[in-house]
Amino acid sequence: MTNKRTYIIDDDKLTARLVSILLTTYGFSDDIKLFNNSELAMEDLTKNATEIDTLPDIILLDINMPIMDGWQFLEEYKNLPIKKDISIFIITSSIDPIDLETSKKFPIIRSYIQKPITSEKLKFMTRLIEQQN
Amino acid sequence: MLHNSNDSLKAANLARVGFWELNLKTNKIFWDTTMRSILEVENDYIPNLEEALNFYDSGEDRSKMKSLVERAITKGIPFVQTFQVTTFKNNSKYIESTCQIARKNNKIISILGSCLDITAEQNLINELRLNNEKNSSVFLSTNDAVFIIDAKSNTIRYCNSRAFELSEYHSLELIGQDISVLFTRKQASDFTLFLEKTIANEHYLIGESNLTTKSGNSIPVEIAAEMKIQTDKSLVFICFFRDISVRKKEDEQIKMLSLAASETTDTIIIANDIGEFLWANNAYLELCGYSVPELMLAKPGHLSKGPETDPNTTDQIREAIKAKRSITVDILNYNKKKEKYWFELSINPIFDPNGLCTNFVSVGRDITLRKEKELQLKKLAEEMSLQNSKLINFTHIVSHNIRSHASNLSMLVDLIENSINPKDKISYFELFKEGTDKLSETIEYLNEIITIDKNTGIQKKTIFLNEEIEKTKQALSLLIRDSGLEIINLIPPQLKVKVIPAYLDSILINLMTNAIKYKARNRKSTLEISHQMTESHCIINFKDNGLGINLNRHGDKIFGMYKTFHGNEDAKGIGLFITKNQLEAMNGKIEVESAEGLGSTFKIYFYDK
Repeated sequence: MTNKRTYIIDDDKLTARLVSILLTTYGFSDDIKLFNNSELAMEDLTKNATEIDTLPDIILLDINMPIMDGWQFLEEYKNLPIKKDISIFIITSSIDPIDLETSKKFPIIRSYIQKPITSEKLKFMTRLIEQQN
Repeated sequence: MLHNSNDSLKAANLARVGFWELNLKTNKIFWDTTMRSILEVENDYIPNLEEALNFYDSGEDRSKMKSLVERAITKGIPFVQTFQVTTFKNNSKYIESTCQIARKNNKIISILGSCLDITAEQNLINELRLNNEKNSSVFLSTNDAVFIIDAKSNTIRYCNSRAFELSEYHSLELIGQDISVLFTRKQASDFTLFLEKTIANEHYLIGESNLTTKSGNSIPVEIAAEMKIQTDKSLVFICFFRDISVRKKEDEQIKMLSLAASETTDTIIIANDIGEFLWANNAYLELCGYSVPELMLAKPGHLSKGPETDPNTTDQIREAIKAKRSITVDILNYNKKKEKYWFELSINPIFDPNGLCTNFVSVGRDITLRKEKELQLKKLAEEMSLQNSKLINFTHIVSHNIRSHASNLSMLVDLIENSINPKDKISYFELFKEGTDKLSETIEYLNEIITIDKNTGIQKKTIFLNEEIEKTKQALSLLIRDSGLEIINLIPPQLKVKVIPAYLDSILINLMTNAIKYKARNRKSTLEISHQMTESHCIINFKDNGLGINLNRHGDKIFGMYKTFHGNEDAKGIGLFITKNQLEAMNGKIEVESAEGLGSTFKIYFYDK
């Protein structure tokens, strides 16, 4: 199940790096790209929207980010001409119930995961992705 | 003036009509010989106004003549009227009096008129009336109950059908009966006295009593009685009984209404069709402290207006009165002592049957206590909602920052526990240090914010703003020079603001460093600091030509905690949140206007009072 290309979008550099190390350590993925800013990730996806091989298989998305927050990112993502079925996970430290409610408005979200990332949570996410396939 | 009236004199003599004149300049009265003979006075008798009026029979006739003469003198209204007079020799006469107005240069200079003795005619009319009353058809045609009563025995000789209807008795039951059958004992003796007075008066009398019907109902009646000598020399009384129960009931209702209006604790004001004061009840007089004559001089609203009265409300009232509409408002009024009171006021126009507005009636009450509680509650609610939104911000920082640091640390512990390679372990410890540093930094910011909230009560000082800006520029001079930002200080040197100095310092540093952080890279950067004064605030504008902010997207978050907008390394998103809190602690506020790519203007409000 390794070698699934994964994008981590999180403005907190330390968090992004730790999540990346955990993904490698627990064999979730070793093809990881970090974005500390959701606009950069949007640029990347827009550019590669039709290149199925270049596009990621999984996106781990933070909510509270400057410039473009997670929700704004998803609004724009919906408009991209992407044919690939990318698994999008919200990865957040928010305990605000409004955020959980908002996540239900986006069917493209596979699951809403609370930080910290643990091996159990990674296994759960892997199962979800396999079910989908 | 007499020579001018020669023609009238001649005419008057010809027609056997008396002539009189009242010269308003000399206040002298002239009576001609005919006039003197009517009133049976000597030719050397010199009348004055008061004595002249005394010839008119006391009561209705005299007061009517008095008011007609007054109207003629003051308003120039002529009249023709029949009066009963008592002559100098104590003879009763009927006269027909006319009055004309003489003017010079539009000013009334005298009133003059004729006087015709109509005693003979009047007596004839009275006699005819009496004769007519013998005819039963007159009785039947009138709606009054008529009783003819024998003066000697007080028994009923005759009564009309209306009398049976009113008393509920059959004709056989009443004819020949003592009139007292129609009254209670007390009222019967009153009625007998009344009839005796009629004899003494030699003229008809009017009184009121209660008629007791067969079934025992009591009906209020007005009674007109007249004594008459029959052809057989016997004396009878002709009595007209008029059912006045409807009028009595209305009178009673009006009495109750006026009692309610004058005694209620609600205030009542009656004004004319253009809103001028006519009447107010005691409750209003007590509330406003003005007397009726004082209120007469102005429209009610003018006296009660004060500096804090909402001009919109008074405009609304004025509009409603102009448009003859109803209106209900709460208004802050002032009493005579210039004390404020909240007044709930409902103004209603009154229309006559033709749809014309005749009056305005306003009903109101003092709602100061209720209003004060309302305002208190509103203030409390505003404070609560402010506190609430601050609390939400705190939840946010706990959720997003402390939790995110904590989750970072917990992920690191996970990695340290599960890594076999000692080199990896050491590098994770480095990251662990980074994580704990960030956590303590966050906690420090949190502390700073809590301190601001606690310091709301700190004493403010008055300082020169221009000087403070120059000081801050000096402190940041290296940073400013490196950035190439030009700060244009347009604050006049004498402008003073009342602030907590440490907060002002922090606010100035924040806004200047923001202008540096978010300057546009492709043009010369400027920050212009200017001011404007409003009634309650001194507003300082910080206008830059930097990157600007998309307020549609970020407007709600810009002053929140930990929000940055430009992906800038230095931007911690805490600066504006602290600035906002510091201003709020000084009773001020901050607003922003911005356009992406053009620049931002931060408006700082200092509450100066």
